[in-house]
Amino acid sequence: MSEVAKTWKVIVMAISVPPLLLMIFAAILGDDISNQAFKRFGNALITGYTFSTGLLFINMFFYADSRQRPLAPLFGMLLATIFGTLITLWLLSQGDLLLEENGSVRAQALSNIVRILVSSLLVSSLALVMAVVVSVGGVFVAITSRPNRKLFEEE
Amino acid sequence: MQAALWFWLPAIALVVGTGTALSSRSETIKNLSKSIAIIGFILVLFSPVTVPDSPSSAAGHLLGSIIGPCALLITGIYLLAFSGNVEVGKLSSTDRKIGSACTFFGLIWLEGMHWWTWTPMLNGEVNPYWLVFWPTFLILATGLSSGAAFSLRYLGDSREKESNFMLVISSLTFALTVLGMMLDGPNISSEIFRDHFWLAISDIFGLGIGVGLSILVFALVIWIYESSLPPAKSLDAPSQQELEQAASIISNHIGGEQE
Repeated sequence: MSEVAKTWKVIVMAISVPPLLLMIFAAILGDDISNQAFKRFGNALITGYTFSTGLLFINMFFYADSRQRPLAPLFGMLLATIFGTLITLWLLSQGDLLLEENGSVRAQALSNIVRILVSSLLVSSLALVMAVVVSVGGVFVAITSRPNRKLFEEE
Repeated sequence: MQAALWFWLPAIALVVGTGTALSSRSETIKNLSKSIAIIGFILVLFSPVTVPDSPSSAAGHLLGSIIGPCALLITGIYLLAFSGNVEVGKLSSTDRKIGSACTFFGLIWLEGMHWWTWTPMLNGEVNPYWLVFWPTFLILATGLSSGAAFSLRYLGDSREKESNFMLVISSLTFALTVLGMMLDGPNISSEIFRDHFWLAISDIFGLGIGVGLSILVFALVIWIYESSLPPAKSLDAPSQQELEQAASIISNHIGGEQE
């Protein structure tokens, strides 16, 4: 494995290990992963997949145009729909995905869109922005707080 | 209808206005989008007053509650970063002191919302969106700071001190999450915090995996198309006559004049 691939693996692990440790800690405190958490995971996965697929689908038109492959968006949409259906069927086979306030799949889909707009786009995005401010801002503060390093020794 | 007019429309205006202001090249459209985004933001902030009965207004209430500490934190980090050793536009040492104070009080204010009585309360209950924001912020901050620490160590050159500083931030946010799981605050018990921690983790991993899978599907489509493209047409090998012509041109341009 190349050095670059190793470095990226370490960085991805560094990002995911603290949340995983927190999950282990919460489990040690006696928490079972609740049915509600699984439902939220399933709904977040499907909603994230649907939103992201929609955005990437628009990009397929640009790809089709630049590479002279007019059927690329259609093929992409077909594959994305098949894959999305398989994910949804797999999640449904693991348990009910309807949150308790919603009585039907259509109500759940609408609720997901509303929740993703309010909860994810406004609140979770704000949390993400603030976390990025703290982590990236922290890096800048740390770098600029040190005295300038000598790049070359004077002769 | 009232919620659509006083909350959803401003919320859409805020998102669309911000997006257009960031992406548009025209100065006129940029200024117009900024104005729309600001008006949308103000109306969302006032939604607990304009549509108090709508559950959506809780998001506006949360925005109004956390705008103070977030603004302090952002200003503080900006002042700290640009009062350090930067080549251009360095701020004064007074700005550095103000930056330190802003960051400190911003963090204390945010912490006070969990550990003291400053929790955003709506109709006598904890704002439900605060219970989304706080665990999500802590989980993402600990993960991203840890990622930044290892990026500095592995991608940077002699950046161990900076990496250690980021590990301290990651450990601090990690410790705050663990404390939230173990100790009760005045308004939020450890049990409620743990419940919302699991929901936040579910949201983060669900969204991350969903987005990752969609990228994988479209990468697969592009890979299939790219691998099916015919190979580029290669030229025939040069003939003897072409080789001789090339050799004569080369021989005329090497060696130089004999003195």
